[in-house]
Order: sequence, then structure tokens, then C-alpha cells
Amino acid sequence: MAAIAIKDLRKDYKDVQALKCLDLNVESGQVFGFCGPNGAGKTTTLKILVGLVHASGGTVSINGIDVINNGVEARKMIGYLPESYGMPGWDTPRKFLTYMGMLSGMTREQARKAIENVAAEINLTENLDRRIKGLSKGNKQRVGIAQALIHGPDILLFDEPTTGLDPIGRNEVLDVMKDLAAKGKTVLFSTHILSDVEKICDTVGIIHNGLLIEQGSPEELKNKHGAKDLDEVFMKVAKHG
Amino acid sequence: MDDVNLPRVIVHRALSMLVSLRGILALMVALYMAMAGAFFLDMFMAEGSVIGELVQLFNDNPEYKFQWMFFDGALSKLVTLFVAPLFIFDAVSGDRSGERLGLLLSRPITRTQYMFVNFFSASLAFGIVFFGIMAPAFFMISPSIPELTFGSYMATAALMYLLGVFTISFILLISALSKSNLVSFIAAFGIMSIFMTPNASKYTSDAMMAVSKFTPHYYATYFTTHAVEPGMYLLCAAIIILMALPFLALAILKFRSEDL
Repeated sequence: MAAIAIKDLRKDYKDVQALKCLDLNVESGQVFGFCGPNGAGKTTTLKILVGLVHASGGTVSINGIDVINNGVEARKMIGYLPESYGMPGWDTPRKFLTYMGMLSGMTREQARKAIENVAAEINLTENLDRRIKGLSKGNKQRVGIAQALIHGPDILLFDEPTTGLDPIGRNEVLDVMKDLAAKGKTVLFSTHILSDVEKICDTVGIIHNGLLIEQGSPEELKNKHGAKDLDEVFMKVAKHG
Repeated sequence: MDDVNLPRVIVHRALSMLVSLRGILALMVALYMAMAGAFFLDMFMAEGSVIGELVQLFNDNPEYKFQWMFFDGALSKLVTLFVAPLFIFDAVSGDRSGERLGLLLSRPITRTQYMFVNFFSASLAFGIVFFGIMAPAFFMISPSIPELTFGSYMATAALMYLLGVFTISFILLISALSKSNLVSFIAAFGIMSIFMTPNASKYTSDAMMAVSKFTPHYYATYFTTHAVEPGMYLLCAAIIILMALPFLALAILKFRSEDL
């Protein structure tokens, strides 16, 4: 059973068809790179998976649970990091993460333990009691990742997690995703940065105009298109897609 | 994983609000109103002053007690109108403009539960501030009004509290409709100020008296100088709650259908 299964997914806005019968499967334990130009439908797809956007048609399931009709059960298994998000700047990461843990069904004590574990995992421990607004961008991103991990989800959906970070921060986030996959988590992340995809992804999906036009391992795609890297694959596919 | 424990989340959020800048501001506003009330009461009641004599005349009417009316009709009304919105005006609009909705609603909760958390935590936080001010105020005013019992005072205060809950449901709808905190703030406090006007003027203007019948505060202030009869009290409470429910339902319906 696929960790994430999307079939014939459609999303129509007033005058735009953002997704046109999107089919996508992500196997358990994979790091899946979801690529595509701006406006291709990546963020819309992720938001439908989390229940932030209502689908116009099609089916979406997480570990076999229908996301559209049983969103709460599905979200118990999902950790989500949006592309852009805000956190209460006056709060400390500990206070913010406690609240997020409680919203996930944890007691305060369970949340406290989970925060310690997650913070150790992603190198956030020493910043747990500083105000969020005083943290660097990289550390804020760590808090964002921590809130996605706090309830121990099996599936992680990260929307452009490395955008805006310096090379060190970017590599740290990539390492976190790789570690999570090594622990058996399924990671689906959207990005424009194809070198990131090449570094850590088992599978790449390229979406264009609301349709998945390519899916395979980075090597498979490079061989198929006779390209030296994923940038070249992307350019060729996007041009003809 | 367990389902979210809503009462626990609501209490946590309410307490967080109370110890935040917003909670301190709410407490200060409420305290200021209580102190201003006490100050004016003393000033008005000063022996030998013209106002004092007018108040005495007013108090001679068995149906009115100036002190009681002032505290219950003015103080609690002010606290209700201007403190309750502080806890709710940015509930949804703040999460929306602060880009927090994506994080919050990615948790295993429904949008209805998210709205309930906002509504009940604001109601709880407001209740703590409101009764925290109103209960001690009884001990300040009761020596000068021997016939005033704690029960009738708190019953009327509870009615006022319900009006605060109505205010919260109304402003939650504004917050759900608004994309900006500023718009929500201006709309919430502006509308609450309009609610205030007919009450402030109803003893002096027939026109305002007519308008005041359409404001929710009419139902509560009507009883402030009269004995609280259980049947009418319950009717008032029911009317206020029934007025609050459509706003809460509309806020939830609007928010549930939205793409975020």
C-alpha cells in the first residue's frame, strides 16, 4: 500500500484549473521530490493532502485513509511544513510546540517529552527557551520542522523547506529529511532547487500545469532524457510538457 | 494517537491569553473602569454637591439605586463591550494574516474544533477577567445598598457575562470574515461602540430608547435596577444565547468552506 495515493485529483478555482486529474503514488519510507515551475500545482496538492484546500474531485489517501472524508484520522499521520508560515514571535519554541502538541491530542507531559526528543533530533535544544522572533531564519525553520514532527507522524509534507536558507541551513534541512527517511518516515517535499532533489531523493515527480508529467528516480529520469543533471531534465520536460 | 482533548486545549489557550500582553491590557482596562466607577461614585455622592443631591433624589425612587445602576449598568457594560472583544477580534484574522492557519489546521482537528477553541477560550479568559473585577466590586458597593444581595448581583453580572459571550460570537464572525487584523479591530470596536450609544442615551432620548430595544444590552440593563426574577432572568439568558448562536454558526460555516 502506498503511503500517499492520489488519483484523478482535480482542483478548480474560479477561472483556473490548478490540478487536472493528478495521479501520484509515494511509497512508504521514500524521500519524494515534488518539482515543477511556479503555479504548477505543487502547493495546492500539498494543501489538499493536509485539508487546507478542498479538492474539486478525485481521491487522496494517506496510508489507506481517505483524506477528504476522514481528514482528522489522516492528519494524525501527517507532519506539515508550509512554504510560508508565521509563529507567535513573543512565544518561545517550547511554548509554541507545547500548544501544537496539545492540538495533536497530547497531554502537556507527553508534549514536554516529545519536545525534548525532537529538539535533540534537529539540534534545537539550546534555543527552546528563547523568543521565536529573536531566532535566526535557520533556527525558525527548525522550529517549523519541530512542529511537524512533534506528534510523531509517519508522513512528512514539506513545502519548499530549503527556500530562503543559506547553503549551511539548506544542507542541515536536507540532512534532517535524510535522517527522517532513514528512520522509516516518508518524506514528500516540493522544491525548485533540483540539486537538493538529486542529493536526497529516491523518487522525483515533475508536475506541470496541474498534471504529473514525469516520475522516477533521478537516475532513471536523467537516462530517459539523456541529461547530465535534473536541471536539464526539468528544462526539457517543462518545455515539452 | 489520541483525539484532541478540547477542554484541555481551551483552558491552556485561555490561560496563555491571560498572561499575555492582551490579558494584561484587558485587566488594566477592566480595573480602570472599576476605579473610575468608584471615583465617580464617591464624587457624585459627596454630601452637599448638586449632583449628590440629584443622586439622592434619584435614589429616593424605590425603583432606582444610582450606585447599583452605575456599577452594573455602566461598569459591567463597559467591561463587556470593550474587554470581551480584546480576546477574540484577531482570533481568525490574526492567524490568517500571521500565516499561522496552515500550521494550526494541519493538526488532527477539524475547523469546527478550531473555531470552538477560539470561542470558548476567549469566553473563559473574558469570564476570568469579568468576574475577577465584578465580584470584588460587590463588596465595594454593598455597604451603601443593604438590600443588594450577592446572589442577585451575581445573577445580573452573569447576564452581563452572557452578553460578553454574545459579543465574542459576533466578533468571531467579523474575525472569520476579515483578512486583516486592523479591519477586524476597527469593525469589532466600532460596532461595540455603536451598541454602547443607545444604552448611554436611552434615559434622555425617545429615539435612542427605540433603538436600544434592538441592542442586546437592553435586555440586561433593563433589570439592573429591578429585582431579578428567576423566570425573566432565565428568559433573558436564553434570549442572549439564542442571539449568539447564529453568529457562531455563521462564523463556523464560513470558515469551514474556505480554501486556505
